[in-house]
Amino acid sequence: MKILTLNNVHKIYNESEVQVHAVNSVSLGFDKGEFAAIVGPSGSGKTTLLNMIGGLDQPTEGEIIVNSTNIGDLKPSKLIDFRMYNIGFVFQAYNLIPVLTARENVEFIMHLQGWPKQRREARSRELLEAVGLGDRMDSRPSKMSGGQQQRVAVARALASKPRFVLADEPTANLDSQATENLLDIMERLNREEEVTFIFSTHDNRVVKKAHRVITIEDGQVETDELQKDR
Amino acid sequence: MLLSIAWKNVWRNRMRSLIVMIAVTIGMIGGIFSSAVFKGMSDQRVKEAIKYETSHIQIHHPQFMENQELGFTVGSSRQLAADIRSIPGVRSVSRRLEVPVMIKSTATGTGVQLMGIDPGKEKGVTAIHEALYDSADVAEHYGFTDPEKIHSFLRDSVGEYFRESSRARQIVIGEELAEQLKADIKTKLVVNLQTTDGSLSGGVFRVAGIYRITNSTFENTVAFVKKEALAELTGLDTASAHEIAIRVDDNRQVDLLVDQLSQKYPGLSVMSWKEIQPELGMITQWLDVMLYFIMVIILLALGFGIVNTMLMVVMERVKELGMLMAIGMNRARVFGMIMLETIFLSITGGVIGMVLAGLLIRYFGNHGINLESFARGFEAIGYNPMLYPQIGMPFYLTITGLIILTAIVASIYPAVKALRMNPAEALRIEI
Repeated sequence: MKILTLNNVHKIYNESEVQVHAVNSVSLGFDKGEFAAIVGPSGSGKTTLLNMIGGLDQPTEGEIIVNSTNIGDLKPSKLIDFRMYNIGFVFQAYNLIPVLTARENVEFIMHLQGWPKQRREARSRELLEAVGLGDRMDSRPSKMSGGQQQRVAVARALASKPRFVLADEPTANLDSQATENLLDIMERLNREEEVTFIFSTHDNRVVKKAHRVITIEDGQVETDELQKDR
Repeated sequence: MLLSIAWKNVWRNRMRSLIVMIAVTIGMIGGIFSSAVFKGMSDQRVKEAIKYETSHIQIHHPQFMENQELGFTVGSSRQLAADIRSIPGVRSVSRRLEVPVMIKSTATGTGVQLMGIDPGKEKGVTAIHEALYDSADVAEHYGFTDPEKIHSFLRDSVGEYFRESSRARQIVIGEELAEQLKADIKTKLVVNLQTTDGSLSGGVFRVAGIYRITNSTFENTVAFVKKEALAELTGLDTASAHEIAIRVDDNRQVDLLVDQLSQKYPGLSVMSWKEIQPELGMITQWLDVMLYFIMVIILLALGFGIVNTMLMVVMERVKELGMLMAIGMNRARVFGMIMLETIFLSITGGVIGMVLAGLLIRYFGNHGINLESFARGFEAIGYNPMLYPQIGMPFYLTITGLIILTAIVASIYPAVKALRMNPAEALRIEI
């Protein structure tokens, strides 16, 4: 049973009377616990594809089914709730809330979901320790390095136990050491939390770590290969 | 958590938030303090008008206010006054004769309204007897410390209210009239009037006292003599009265008592001070509206500044707001967060402004604002040049509500702007 299925997904942008086919007839399926990379050059449609999977953008044609729910059928208000309960996001620029500490950033979604304080605190501690930031829980993002901020973002994405995590170029702003570190953490959490990770990248270091590599070019899937067994 | 985030967000750009808060603070101080000055002026004017000029309620013959004929009296005024005095809430009652006369000194002459009063009863209704001279001023001016000496000085040089024992014809005039007639204490003035039979009569009065109040028009046009003396000159019965002046315990009871008296005496005209001096009634009724209007204008101006600031806030945080919406913060929460930030930004400056304005009002309410250099202008329109600002708690509470309302209204446009963002596009924007 696939937790995520894309059926013949298209995305066409109308820009200055010129149609841009950003995603062209993509059909994919993802199982629980996958650690998959969507690879391709800039402008190949990786981010557009991730945005559609995350319900941030609607396909022009085709359907995206998450656990038997076609997210294209959801009303905007339901879609926001759907994202909150099912999807974790990791962004290229970390995008933490600057006025909150690492712990508060991780607790934020749990708070939106109405988790009781004790559970929130326990879960945020567990995750921040898992990403190696147990001693920086009360630090604000401005006092942390890029790698540390991205680790907080990973902890935040996993906080409410989503079905899958979407990471758009998560290592683009990190040096090689921080990238290595982050990928190890993501891989470990993928295994321990049994959460599917789908990330876009054009970084070879990331590609090497991925279990499944989907190559996309001009909006179309070129290759879809398994590299490692889970 | 939203409250906490909103509060912390306010302080992200400390300088910008402080500038907005200072603007709100200054606006609040300016608005509230000037409102308190106007309110204080108006309340003082009303109090002084009641205290020295009108008393709370007056009863007349129904035609007297239109045509001051000698014959338009209130009938058996003694019994009427006694009945009114027994009504709960009525503090004192004075019967007056009121006759338009010509008054002359050796220098000049003018027309005035001559009030024939019973000095003992009149003291309970108006306070002209307190306005003759300020003994503290005399003492300070001449360096007197002995109360006997002050009293003797007041009696001999400055004048006094009517001496009960004196049978001489005494008159108490206003300072403005005294200046016009070039009259002083003990100056003889000739009063000419029409008697009840239509003939002209006159008499000589000696100035017993010169009163000074804050209404120079009243000073110039109203003089007081004993009722018996005026009755004798006009040929009226001393038991008759043109006017029954009533002082009540509490100004708030006036309208109720006017209704009560109107029902009890349907053949007479019963008027409150608001009807006797309609401009005062209008001032008290409209001033509150005007004060709120001033505050609304100030808040409206501040509101545009707040809208501008919050728009900048939203534009600067497009990416962050996009992220919040992407990870599951719904529109209501985003709207609420922006609204809370606006309320915090506004209410902080508002509260500081209200506290500072309150302290200023308290200080100047006790010490007064001395505008003595504009005294003539103020007194010409009946106002005291010593202003004591004051404002009631309901005004503060309403202002608090108005600030919150302004913040809510000011937050709508920036918040709607934030809600219109597409999270995916917002996340792509580079700032």
